[in-house]
Amino acid sequence: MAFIDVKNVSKTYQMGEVTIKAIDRVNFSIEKGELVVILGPSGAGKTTVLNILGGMDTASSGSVIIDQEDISKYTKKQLTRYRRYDIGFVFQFYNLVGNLTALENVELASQICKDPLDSQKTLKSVGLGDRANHFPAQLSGGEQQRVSIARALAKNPKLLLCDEPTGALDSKTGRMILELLQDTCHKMHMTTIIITHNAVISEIADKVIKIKNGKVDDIILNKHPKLVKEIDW
Amino acid sequence: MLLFKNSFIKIRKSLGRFFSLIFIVALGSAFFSGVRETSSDMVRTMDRYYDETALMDFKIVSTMGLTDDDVSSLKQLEHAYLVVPTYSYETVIDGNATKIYALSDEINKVKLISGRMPEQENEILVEEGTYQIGDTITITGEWEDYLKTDQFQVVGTVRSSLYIYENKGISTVGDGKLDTFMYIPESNFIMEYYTEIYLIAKDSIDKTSYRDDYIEQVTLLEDELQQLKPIRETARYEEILTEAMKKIYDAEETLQKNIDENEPKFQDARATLDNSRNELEQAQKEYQDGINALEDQRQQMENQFATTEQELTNGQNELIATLEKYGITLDQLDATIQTLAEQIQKLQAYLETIDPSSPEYSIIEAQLQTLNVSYQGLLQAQSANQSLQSGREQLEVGKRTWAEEYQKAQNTLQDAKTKIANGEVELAQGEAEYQENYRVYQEEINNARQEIEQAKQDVASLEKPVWYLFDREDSSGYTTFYESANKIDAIASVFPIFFVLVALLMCMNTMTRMIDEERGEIGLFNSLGYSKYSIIASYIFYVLLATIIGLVAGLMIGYFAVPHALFDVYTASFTIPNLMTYFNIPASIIITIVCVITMIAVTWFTTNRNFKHMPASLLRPETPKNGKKVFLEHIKIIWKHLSFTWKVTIRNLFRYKKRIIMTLIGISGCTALLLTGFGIKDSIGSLLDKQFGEIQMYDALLMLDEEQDQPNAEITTLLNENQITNEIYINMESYSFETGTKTLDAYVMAFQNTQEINRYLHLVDLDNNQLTLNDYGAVITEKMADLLNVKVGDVIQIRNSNNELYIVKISGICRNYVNNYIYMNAKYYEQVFGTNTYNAIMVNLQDQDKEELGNKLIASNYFSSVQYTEDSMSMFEDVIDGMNDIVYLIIGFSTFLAITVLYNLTTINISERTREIATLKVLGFYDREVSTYVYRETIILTIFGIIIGIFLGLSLNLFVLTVAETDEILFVKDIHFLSYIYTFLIMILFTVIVQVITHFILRKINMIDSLKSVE
Repeated sequence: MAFIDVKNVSKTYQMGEVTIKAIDRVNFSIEKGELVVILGPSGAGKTTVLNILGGMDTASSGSVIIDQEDISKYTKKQLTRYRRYDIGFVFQFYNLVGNLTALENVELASQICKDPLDSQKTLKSVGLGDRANHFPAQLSGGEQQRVSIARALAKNPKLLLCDEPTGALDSKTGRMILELLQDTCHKMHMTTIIITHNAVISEIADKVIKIKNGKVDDIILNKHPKLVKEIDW
Repeated sequence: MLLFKNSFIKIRKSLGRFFSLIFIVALGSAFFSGVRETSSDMVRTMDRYYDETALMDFKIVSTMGLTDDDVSSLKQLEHAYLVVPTYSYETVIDGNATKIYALSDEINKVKLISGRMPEQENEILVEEGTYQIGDTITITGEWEDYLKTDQFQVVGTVRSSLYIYENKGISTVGDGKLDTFMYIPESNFIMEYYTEIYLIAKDSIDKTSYRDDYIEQVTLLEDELQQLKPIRETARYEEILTEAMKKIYDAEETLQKNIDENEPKFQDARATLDNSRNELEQAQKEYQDGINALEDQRQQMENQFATTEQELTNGQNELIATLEKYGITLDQLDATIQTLAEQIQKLQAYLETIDPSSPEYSIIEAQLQTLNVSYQGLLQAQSANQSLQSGREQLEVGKRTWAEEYQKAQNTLQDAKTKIANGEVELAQGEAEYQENYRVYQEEINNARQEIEQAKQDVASLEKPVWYLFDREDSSGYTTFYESANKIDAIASVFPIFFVLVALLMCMNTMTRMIDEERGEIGLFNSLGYSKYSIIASYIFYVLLATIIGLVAGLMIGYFAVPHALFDVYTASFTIPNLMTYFNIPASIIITIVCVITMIAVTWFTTNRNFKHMPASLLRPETPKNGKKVFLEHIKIIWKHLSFTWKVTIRNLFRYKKRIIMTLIGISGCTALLLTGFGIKDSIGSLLDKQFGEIQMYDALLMLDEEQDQPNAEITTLLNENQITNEIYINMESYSFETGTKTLDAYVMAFQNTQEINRYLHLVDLDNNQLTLNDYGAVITEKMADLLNVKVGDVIQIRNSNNELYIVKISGICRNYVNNYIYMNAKYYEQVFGTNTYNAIMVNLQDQDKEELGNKLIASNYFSSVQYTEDSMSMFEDVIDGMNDIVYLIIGFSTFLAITVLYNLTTINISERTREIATLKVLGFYDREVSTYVYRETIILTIFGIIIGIFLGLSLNLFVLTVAETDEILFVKDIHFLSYIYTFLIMILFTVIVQVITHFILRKINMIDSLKSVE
């Protein structure tokens, strides 16, 4: 059994009288420690997939089994607990709390976990050990995203979800972030899912799930994923 | 216009925000306009009432009455519009000091509440709420000098603009306080002079009472009156002097005439009497003489009779002796003579027969001769006897005649004696009569002389009459009403501005927030080519819509509802017409303009600020505000021990300074208002408890009948029979004192003895030390001391209703909350006022039936009425109920404000931090944790706000109470501990309610949407 098993998951939104199918019978599975890229154009439904995986939204039908738990049947509260203990989230716009220092932003997440990593060390591991006491506004975009990653990692989650982590960054910084994510995935054996519309990024993934019009278009297994420095932006 | 359509959509989308904007504008403008307008409404209402009832501008009263001359000279004054002389009479009716006025349809017109106006002279109008129509009113006292009748039929109840306040001022009768008034037709008055003249100044009706232009207008007349006053006083003085002198002269003339006329009469009478006496004495003498003469005569006669008798007896004896010679007795005489005569005849005849020469002849002749001689002798004896006989008869006749004469004389004398006796009685009567008449006459003359003397002295000491000029401000109601209006103005100057400020701040905050939130949209429109101005206009449109709706609602409430609420509270003790509210158009235009301009300005500046950025950067989220270390972080010991969320909370608190200040102002403001509300309630609530529970503890005052003014054993017995013991006789009278700006009333209360006083009255000074009444001064109440600005050892001036001045030395200042009192013992009272009478008895009751007791006591004729402390309390309770309404108003307004402020602040807090909250949710914070994260700040701010608010409230409470205080009432300015708790709990309750609402808002925040870039 795969670490993550998404079976026949559909999501429909009722917008007045119109029913919109965001995703339609999506099926895929992810092994533990894999770096997965979910690729698709805007509006294809990849964010919906991410939301469902991240416990921020529930599937209308189908099952989402993560580490042998079917989260699709979870209550709101269970979902919150799931997010709390099992998910690390990296946002496109970092979503740091502006009033907390880098370290405190990490602590914000770690304090609510059962078995968190040391915040200071985590921050060091993303290369921001010397900027721990800076506030987000004093950090560059890349640094902020690294804090965001550190915050996600410090929770010691089962799954790291990254929503367009490089979307708001220039290519150089984006590359550094991707490197960090790839390293983390490999070193910590952290199952990492990156959502992007950027096909280039898919080259670093162990598995690429292509989404198109709410359906899984293709699943590509990279036998030899490239290192970040090898890819061409 | 798409943009305006967009505005409407915005309204629909954020109904809560839109309505809270409307609500705040409405609340602010309602309070601001309403409270400010109330005093004007009150003044206008009263001005109309005064105009309708033609309330006098001035009243002239003279110590010696007023005359038609006074009236005509007043009428000549340039600024006098109306001069109405009239009568009034004060008396006690059913125990109430009552002033009876002559009804006038020109001035001081009454307002008929029920019934009809009098048509007959004996019909009367009474103050509403006193007597029933159909009741009969009987005037007691010396009414004959003033009125035609003493029985009146109540035909109607009225109000008078002269008496709008429950306190009707001083009276010359009763306990010195006027209780009620009545009106009767003027024709029922029979007084020689007018008691008062009322005046209305020219053009004063057009002016608004109380206002400066009214005062200016009436001052013109007042100046004239002041000029006329000495002239008329002198004129009246001279008139009275002339009249008095004329009277004296008349009296002297009458006296002289009386003397001239009566003195001779008395002299004549005297002479007649003396004459009579003389005559009587003469008669007496004559009578005595008569008696003497008669006695003499009787003696004489008796002597004479005795002599005659003796002579007769002698003659008889001689005769008898002679007869004895003949050998006969007197009885035999006649027979002997007869015999002898026969013998002689026989012999004669015989002789003739015998020769004369015979011897026998000679013998016979000799015998005849002898017989003749005997015969002759016997004849002689017979004649002697006969004369003796007749002598005797004569004597008898004489005696009888004498006896008759004597009797007659005696009778005459007796008559004379009786006459004399009668004469003497008559004389004595005459004398007595004369003496009595003379004494009366002398007395009359002496009296007349004394009267004249007195009159002369009176004239010598005749004082000039004094005109007392009263204007409207001398009536306690008129001034007190204005003070009430001013009090509202004073409150109006603080509260509404406070409300408006909070409202304005809230509006600014809302708009700033809204525009900040819609930064992206503004950028979008801008980049789409909409001009900056049209975008700003769309926001202004939104704001203006809310502002205008809010203003319309607020001004309506403000001008029509708020004044009523305040009016009812402040005028509970006034008898006046209902408030007429005015929509103050100029003020509302100003409020509208100010509001609109402010709101436009706020919107403009907030929106405009965004246009400094390029549209592109507007499309991006606003750069997060820089986090900052707070001061507390430098104190490592504390900071290190704070939990993580606390650190965040503290940082957040210091990050949004504007919000902190807003919150603190809002919360503390509401807290202060609430506390003030409760404070006022406490203060009024404890007022009665303290006054009647801790200070004046007596249960009743038994008002003595006018006849009784000294302690009386029978009264004590009567009281004992009714289970009343330890009574104290007191004298309670109303006096006035001046504070420089106004004239106020105080009760002088003198106690017969002070040993038992603690049962009835707790006199404690301001430091709670027991005070006693001594012989050297009086204890006055705190409020009075404050008003007069005096301390122990000073003296104060008080005046009675006749304006006579008395000086009282202060020996102590006591706690007191209701009314002003001057307490003293009987000795000091006597020293100050020169009398030592009592007019009431202070008692405590057990559980006697009040009505029964009252009836019994009044039936005893010792008492005129019974005043129960409970009744005084219930009167104040009405006032207090009114005051409670204002408290509820304040509490209500504060509640609205508090909820609005809290809700607004929290929603702003949330909307500013939606992304942050969403992030927390994504990170797996439970709903509860998310809420706590947000609440904590609000709760801390609320608590700080409450603490600040409590201090603010203390000052506000003090201010409001000081302003709201009347001259008769001293508020207890302590706030109960429970009120702090209530205030605190209510604020916490609001906070909790708002937080519960917040909790649901927070739950609704969609994590997913918030992950995206800010729209």
